[in-house]
Amino acid sequence: MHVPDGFLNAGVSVATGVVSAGGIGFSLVRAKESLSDRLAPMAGLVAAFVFAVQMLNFPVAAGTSGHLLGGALACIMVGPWAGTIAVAIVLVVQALLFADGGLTALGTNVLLISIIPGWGGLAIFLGLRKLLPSNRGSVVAASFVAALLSVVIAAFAFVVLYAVGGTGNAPVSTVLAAMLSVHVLVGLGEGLITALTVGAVVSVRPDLVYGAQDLVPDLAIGPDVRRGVVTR
Amino acid sequence: MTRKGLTAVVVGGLIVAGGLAFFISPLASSSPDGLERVATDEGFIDTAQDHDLADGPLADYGVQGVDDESLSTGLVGHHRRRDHVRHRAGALRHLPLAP
Repeated sequence: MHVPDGFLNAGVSVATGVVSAGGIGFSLVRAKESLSDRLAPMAGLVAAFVFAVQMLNFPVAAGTSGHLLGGALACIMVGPWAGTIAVAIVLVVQALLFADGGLTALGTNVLLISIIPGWGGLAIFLGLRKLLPSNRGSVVAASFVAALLSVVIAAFAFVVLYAVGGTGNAPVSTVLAAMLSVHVLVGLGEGLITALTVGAVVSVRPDLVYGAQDLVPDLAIGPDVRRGVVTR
Repeated sequence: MTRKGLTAVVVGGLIVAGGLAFFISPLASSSPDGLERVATDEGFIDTAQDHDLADGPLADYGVQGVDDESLSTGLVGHHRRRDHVRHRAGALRHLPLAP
């Protein structure tokens, strides 16, 4: 999904850069307000995990692969502010150190891979959780659907940018059909990875997952309790 | 089940992430990703420009100066690209036609 330099014209690249800078700036302010001793290490873990798993391209069709975007995963795990920052850091490192994703397209990529799938995916996740029973299974199911749709939304967002300032000559309608059909398949992989990851952490410490904080872990008798310290 | 500490969760997660990057990335698909596929099929892949930092020491997830491709890739857990657009590839190096 990483957009290289040249796919989109300068105007769109600058505009997405401004929007992304605003989104990340806002996230920094809000994340600072909610920063806790638990959030910081979890956000770091999420960034490292997204970086690692983004490299694992899985086949989706003949001659086509997909990889995790991670926006939805990050925001479900550590919330909308730290989540978008974590994935944005991954994108900056990829663009500056690994020549992955264009430099002028960095704002576009932060928008398409961090902010849009992150906030869009989290909104879908939270909406689904209100509809579903309050248990761990619902968190996993909502993660799957939200992550799947977050990729489709990101693909749609790319086509919108292409329609406004794409440098290619292909008609928007054919690009739209092609992007959506392939990214539904990529989304299945995104949903699977996200559901497995969220499910794994929820199974041991639901309180560490932003989107599952309401699920109280099984009552634990341990040193914390004996000291009378509330650790949640 | 005992309650896992925050440190255990974070360290465990980092071990999983590192293991995936180093051991599973060679199995990753070398095919172009969804956007690259669409750009190729719809004829605008050539509008992509070379990356300004394409000659950087870690460009394309290889380590410059390390000629053994498996080692070079393994060091960052990734395969270098072949083209002006990224090809996330791990399996590619096992093919006889690998560049």
